[in-house]
Amino acid sequence: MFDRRQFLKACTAAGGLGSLTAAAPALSIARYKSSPTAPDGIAEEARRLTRKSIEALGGMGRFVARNDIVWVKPNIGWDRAPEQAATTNPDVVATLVAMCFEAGAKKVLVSDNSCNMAERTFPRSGIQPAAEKAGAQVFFLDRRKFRRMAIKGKVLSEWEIYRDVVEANALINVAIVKHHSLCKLTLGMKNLMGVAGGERNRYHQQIDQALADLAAFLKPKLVVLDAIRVLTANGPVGGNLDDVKRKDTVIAGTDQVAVDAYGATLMGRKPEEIGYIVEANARGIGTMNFASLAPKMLEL
Amino acid sequence: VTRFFAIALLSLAVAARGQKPVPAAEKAKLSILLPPGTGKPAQFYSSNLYEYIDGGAEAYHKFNMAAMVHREYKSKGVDMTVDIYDMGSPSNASGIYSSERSPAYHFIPIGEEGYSSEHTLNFLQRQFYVKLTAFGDKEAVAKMLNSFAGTISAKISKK
Repeated sequence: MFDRRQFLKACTAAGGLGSLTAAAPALSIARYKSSPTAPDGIAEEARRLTRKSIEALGGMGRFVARNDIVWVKPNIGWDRAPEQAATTNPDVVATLVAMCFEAGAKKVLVSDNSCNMAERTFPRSGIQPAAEKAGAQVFFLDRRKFRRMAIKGKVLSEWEIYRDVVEANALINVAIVKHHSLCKLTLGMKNLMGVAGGERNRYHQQIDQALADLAAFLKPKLVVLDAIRVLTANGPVGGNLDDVKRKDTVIAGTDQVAVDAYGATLMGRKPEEIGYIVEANARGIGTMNFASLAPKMLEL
Repeated sequence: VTRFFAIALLSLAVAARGQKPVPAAEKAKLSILLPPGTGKPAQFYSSNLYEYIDGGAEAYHKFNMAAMVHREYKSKGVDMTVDIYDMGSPSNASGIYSSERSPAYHFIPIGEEGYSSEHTLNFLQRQFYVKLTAFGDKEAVAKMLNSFAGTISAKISKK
């Protein structure tokens, strides 16, 4: 696990806290020094960590151009409140939406193929009201818009993918870091299952290969991991607040494997322990050696 | 003779997958454990539990889940969901319950064993694993969780 000492050491190796280099980095890690408990304090923490982590990558303008249609994909899968850490922090999502508009986006779409009923998960997660307030169009997926697409992966030759996701100018994948009984952890690549349709359990026996297939196909321009609260057990559903821990961190990057690899360390796992990270690394989708990317480390 | 062999083959196939077929009468019985409500109960089985908890269903398969009934309630500003898993045997129920609990939880006297937190109350009783989730005013949620748990526990005792 990456503890505070290792974090500061990495900061030093990366050129010092808060310093920016001319070349846009592929990975940034923003950590809050304090751990506020009041709802307003957590919301402020989420906004600041998100904004700073994206700015450290060079700003949202690197990923979103004027008049772009952007799909922001959070985890809205479960009928859970934000404090239960089963869904993405709503203020992280809303901040990304706001930054997309600041970069000139014409339209920002926010949705997910939720596991529990969307009528419950969207408002309960806080994502629907927060993202709508920031100007996004938040909607339940329309079953008729799933299209069978050629994935040409190792196990997914074809799969049903939501049409508007692939037609968007940019896909921003924003996942929460949490325990998962099948994959050990849910990180960015696992979150991409939420734009797939059909019988999603069909590939549970080859989940690592299937996730790498999806990651290679969808190629999000930006991946953001919300590790402000993390669910440490009984994921993906969770529920018990005793399973929730604070990590007060937001990770952002262009290398989806590196982002997930760092996310794994926050949960006390080595990237090598997570099958889909290993698979995606082996295929060259990205690198699980996140340190090789000289991540931009920020402490706020 | 053909029918006998077909049934035998089906039973073998089911046994090989570690899943017991659920008699139709048993399916109907599970919903009688629910507290009264207006929402229509939904039933899930090993074959389609993923539709409700995609990614979380495998743990229940491992312990040979027979059936689950789910119902949603709304009362006095509280949103509640009740999930009652029939695990087929007390040992299976104990297995899945134990795999999800932690010694750090706040344990309460209900059924064989149970625990609660701000939004949840889970307990084990006979072959049933009962999971309640509620949202709303904190005090009203706690009251409703305890009331529903008591009702379901009494129904299980009478079953």
